[in-house]
Amino acid sequence: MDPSIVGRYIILLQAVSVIIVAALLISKSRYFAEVLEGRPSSKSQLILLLFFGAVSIYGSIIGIDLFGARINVRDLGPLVGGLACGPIVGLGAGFIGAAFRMTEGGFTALPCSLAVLMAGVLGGLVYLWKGKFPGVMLSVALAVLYELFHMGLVLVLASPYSLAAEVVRAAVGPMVLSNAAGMFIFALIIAGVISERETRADRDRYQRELQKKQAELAVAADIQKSLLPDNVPSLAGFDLAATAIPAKEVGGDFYDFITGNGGNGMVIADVSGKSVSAALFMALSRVVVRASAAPGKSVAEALRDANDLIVSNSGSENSGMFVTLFLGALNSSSKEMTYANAGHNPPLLYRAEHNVIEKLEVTGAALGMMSGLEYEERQIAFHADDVLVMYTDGVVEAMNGKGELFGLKRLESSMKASAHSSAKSIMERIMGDLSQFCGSEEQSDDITAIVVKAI
Amino acid sequence: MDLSQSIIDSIPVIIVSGKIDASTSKDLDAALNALIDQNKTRLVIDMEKVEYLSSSGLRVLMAAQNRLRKMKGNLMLISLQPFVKEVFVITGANRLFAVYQSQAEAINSLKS
Repeated sequence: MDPSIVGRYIILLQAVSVIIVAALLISKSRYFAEVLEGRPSSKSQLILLLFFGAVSIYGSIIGIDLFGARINVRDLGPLVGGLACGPIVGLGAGFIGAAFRMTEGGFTALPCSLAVLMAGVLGGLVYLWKGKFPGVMLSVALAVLYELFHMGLVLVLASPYSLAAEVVRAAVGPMVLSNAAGMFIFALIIAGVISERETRADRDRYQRELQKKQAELAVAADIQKSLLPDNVPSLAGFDLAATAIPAKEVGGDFYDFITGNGGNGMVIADVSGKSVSAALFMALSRVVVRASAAPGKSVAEALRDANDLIVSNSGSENSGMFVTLFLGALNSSSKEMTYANAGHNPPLLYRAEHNVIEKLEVTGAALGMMSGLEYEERQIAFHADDVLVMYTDGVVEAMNGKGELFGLKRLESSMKASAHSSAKSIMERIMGDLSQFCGSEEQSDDITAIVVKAI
Repeated sequence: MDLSQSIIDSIPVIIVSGKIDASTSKDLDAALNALIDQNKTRLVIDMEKVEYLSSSGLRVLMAAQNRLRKMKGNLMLISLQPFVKEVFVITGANRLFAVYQSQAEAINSLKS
């Protein structure tokens, strides 16, 4: 190959390098960022317009003479400017490029100037049509078609025709090739910046949602924690223990001891739903039950009143929320307990004398489902060493890695195995067995229990 | 949990399978509310393949039933498995729902 031609190609390569560096710089600039955000200021548009105009001028200057035609990438700047930044930048850059080309003169000055101006206009129109940068493939295709159009323009407008035809014949291949290659590089860089930006926006949005969710979880956990009793009351004739292990997304479990005025009420409850809504419903239910369980009222009346208050004040008729709740009143002197069970998992009563377990069945519907319900109440008598375990579904529905539930049978065995020991030890045994069963599986629901042992 | 829908005699039937728990119940909630928003006041849920129903899941069914009742409509349930049935019985929610053995039985109940 003719060494002078090799030299010219090297010059073209240098030009491309300059354009790549310029494209990288401008695509990372805040002026271009404003365009991507869809609200470029006039100043940014002016700077981008001058930049793409300068690219056009540079594309003219570094043009190389090849087979008697001047191969250049003059149209590239305005075309990219229009495609990436819209009609104002495209038109402005095209105008700058065209003005410069006119000053260079020559018999193709008019068609070439017109071509560079129209390149900016076309880029801008495509941007308007798509509403954004049209992507790499379309941009390259446009550059190819546009250079062919540019050649056509030379044939039509330049005279003499024979000379124009000769120039076009020599220039058409290299012109299309160099402009397409230039466009390819430019478009690739711009598309990269856009996709990087979208990824970052997605990530930011995800982060924000995560933070919001975590804040919600923290609020719900705080509400729930603040409403649990600080300590378990001591009661003659009975040994008590209670525990509540909230899940990461709290489920609105709670237990409560309503003492004073001669009453010894115990509550264990589970609110439907999760997180903040469950925690708020739990807070409301706890206060309503406390207020309803006034001295002199039976446990059945307390639940009836609590239910009506919850239905009329919590919006549960719309939300569908409800709370399953067991209310028991212990009597220290007679060692008896009267209870009413509003749809809660039946507590287990271990009878020491016969080594059997009884269930304290449901005596009415969960609170909050519908108004005007009545609850029945039952009474049991404790004998020495009997054990009562009240629990929420988080205990029996705790799952291990194989998808198996802890279940009633395991709970009953844990109870029987530890029934001879203190309430605290029975609780530790149950929670120990539960945690061993679940292994490393994440706890999905609150785990709450009260153990009462008759002394 | 998987949801699929069909329409029998112009009554929408939602067929649910798997576990209805805190995370999956949101999808069921959305499906029910979409139908109620279209003024479908009588809905059937086929629960034959539901193996687990948590309190969050029951809340969604209750909310839909309460919405439908206000529109003089009804949410009917089909084929409750023992575990699911127990949730309804223990909580007392069984009083709020009509439960049928099959889709045909539920649809026929509307004609009589």
